[in-house]
Amino acid sequence: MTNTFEITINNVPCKIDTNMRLPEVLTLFGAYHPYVLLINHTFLPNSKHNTIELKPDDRIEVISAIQGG
Amino acid sequence: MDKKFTIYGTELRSRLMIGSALYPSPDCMLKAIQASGAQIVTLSLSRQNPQAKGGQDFWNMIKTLGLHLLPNTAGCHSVDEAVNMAKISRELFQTDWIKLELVGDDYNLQPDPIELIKATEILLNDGFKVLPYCTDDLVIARHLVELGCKVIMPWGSPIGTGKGIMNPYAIQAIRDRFPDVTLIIDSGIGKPSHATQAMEMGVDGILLNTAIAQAHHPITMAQAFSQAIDAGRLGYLSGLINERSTASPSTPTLDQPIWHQPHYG
Repeated sequence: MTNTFEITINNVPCKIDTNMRLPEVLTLFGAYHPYVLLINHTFLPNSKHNTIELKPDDRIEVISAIQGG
Repeated sequence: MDKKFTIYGTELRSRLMIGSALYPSPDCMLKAIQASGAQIVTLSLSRQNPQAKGGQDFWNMIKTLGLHLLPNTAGCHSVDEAVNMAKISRELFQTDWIKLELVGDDYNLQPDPIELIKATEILLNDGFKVLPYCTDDLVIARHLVELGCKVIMPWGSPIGTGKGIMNPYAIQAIRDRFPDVTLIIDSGIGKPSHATQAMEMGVDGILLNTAIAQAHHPITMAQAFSQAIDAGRLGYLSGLINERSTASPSTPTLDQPIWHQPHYG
């Protein structure tokens, strides 16, 4: 049996395997490029996406371009 | 010889900057932006929703335009929010330009001058090229210039109202006081004649969104604004006559063949 924990991505609760890395989680979510990430409201540079370890209750925000005035 | 329109040293042919929101369709947005001749397009940030693929389509369309991108901090109410959003924008759009918006009141979306000054200082120190959306207050403009802003963007009137320049005196005062700063009217322009009026006053550029995007025909309205801005600039450079309170004939009356007695009715 695989251990899981819960995080939220863009305010949507999501159960993930404990051994999942951030890029896999983003693929599961369906994130499309280009995007920028906030983890627990803190900006995470793209260069660190592969190094971070997710924890229970982490809040991931996937941010991208939208129309603006 | 016209002075170049520059944003922190970047020279631009068009004095019109255009927003990417509120168009009836993505295709209309694309065509209106192209018709405007603008070289700068504004855009913003949002959480992704992969189920709605529109976000990726929008980005792909914007990329095809090949324009300078000007991200904004729309919706931010605090210094922390605005600074965070600016940093995210820099990473995402690979530009250090930021249109700094800090809402002070939700009723008229009036910029918060106090928080704006604080955020501007932080961002300038962090290497950003800040384009602050401010009110038409001369003293706020002075603080922004003294902090190092090369561009200031006062409102003509509140965002989306289309009321034009509510306080021409205030805009003229900013223009006259800071002749070397790039002065852009950022909101409230509703029709081409408003843009012409601003340009005739010596304003350097106009940032527009609603007046084009919500027009019945956004593509032709974009052309109308482009021409209105050019006309206003040319008028400003040509030297406007002074207003008079009494009439003065433009046709010479000396030796007119039909003489008449002066009429004092």
